[in-house]
Amino acid sequence: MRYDRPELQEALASAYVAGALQGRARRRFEALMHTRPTLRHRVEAWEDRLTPLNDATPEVAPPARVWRTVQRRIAPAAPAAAAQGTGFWGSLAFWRPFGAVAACLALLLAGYAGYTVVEPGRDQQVAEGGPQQIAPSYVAVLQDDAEQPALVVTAFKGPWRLTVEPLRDLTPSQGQVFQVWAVERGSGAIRPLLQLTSGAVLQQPLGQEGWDAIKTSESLAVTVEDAGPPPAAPTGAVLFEGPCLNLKGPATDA
Amino acid sequence: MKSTASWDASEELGRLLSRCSLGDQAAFGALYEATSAKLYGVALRMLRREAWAEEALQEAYVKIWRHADSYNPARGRPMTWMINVVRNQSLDLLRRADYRVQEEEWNPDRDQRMSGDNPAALAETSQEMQRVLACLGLLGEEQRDCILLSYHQGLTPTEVAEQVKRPVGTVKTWIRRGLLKVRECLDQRGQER
Repeated sequence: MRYDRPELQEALASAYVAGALQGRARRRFEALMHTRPTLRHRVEAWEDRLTPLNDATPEVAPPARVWRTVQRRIAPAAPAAAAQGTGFWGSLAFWRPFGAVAACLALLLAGYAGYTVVEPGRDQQVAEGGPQQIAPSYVAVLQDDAEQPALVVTAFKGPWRLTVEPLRDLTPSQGQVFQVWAVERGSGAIRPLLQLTSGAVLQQPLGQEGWDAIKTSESLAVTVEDAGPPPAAPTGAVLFEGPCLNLKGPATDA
Repeated sequence: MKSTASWDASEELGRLLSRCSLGDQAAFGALYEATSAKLYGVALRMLRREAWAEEALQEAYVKIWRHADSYNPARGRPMTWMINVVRNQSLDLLRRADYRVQEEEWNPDRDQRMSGDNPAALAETSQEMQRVLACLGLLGEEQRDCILLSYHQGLTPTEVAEQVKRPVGTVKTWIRRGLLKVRECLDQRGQER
């Protein structure tokens, strides 16, 4: 592919870091960087080369209001909100920073996902045993930095299982996977949940460990990692993330 | 010694970042305290309007908090990572159409103090910066200006072309070839060390 040529990668990476890559070209390049680690490494190397140019840039103390706003903006994600057990509608407070549209989309998709898994023959992996529970227990809509939804993860019980529905083309490049992580409420500990190896809808049974990871998670996040067993911690930048919402209300399962 | 001091500072920032990734808000406060004046300076230099720089700074720190876990200590200094977060945020802001139309509100005289290097800091600047400046010094003056206008002020190649009164194609070529020359020079000097 054209973008795999080293000279072109180097020219684009240097222009990107120097601020000379503009508009849609810049957006496209940022998207490419997410799927091509070599491109990201080239950008990092250029950042290392050029960032010393800021050494003599004068320091200026910012007004106090900046810090106040930053504090306010990071506060809604505080774990306390999840643990208070104010029920379903209370837990929707989580969604505020992500916009009502995304929340509605999540509920719609959750319903849709719940519906599809009971279609006969569609769910070979988890179809053993009695009737499956239709309503999802947990849902997370993972968004990118521009707050555009990228995928929906839905968890069901009876038996425990997960559905992952990409909302855009999420086909990883050769030798790579999209790794989904669960970020634990309170501690912020990060645990690997599952890997997306193709852009297709994924339905996967969950063990005790996976279920526990889901029900204690504050949010889910996705990074690109090398194929194979997941690393102990994410090595790539977080591409998508979103709060993991307990649809039954926190009291029953948290 | 300056280099040892900045290494220690770098280690400390790395520690604060890893605590941020665990949700430690006090560590985030300390990180902000230690780095916000530098990052605000970088944003002001690029955006030259206080309100915009405040917005870029705010967005950058929210990003730093949310993505603290994606900072990889093996790959570089924390300050490099954070400066580039604020730079990218500033570039995004600069490209938004509604910011462009407010161009006339910019008062160059008032904002002059924000747009250059600090002479005192230049006098005892880091070895790394001296090395980049020396490599940029190998380029022609106009070529160097094009790169610095793009880097420090986030001007588009078209805007740079207007400033230096050259065709935009020439400016793009100068920037591309100039940067490759800088890379070669830095690689050589890196090996000589």
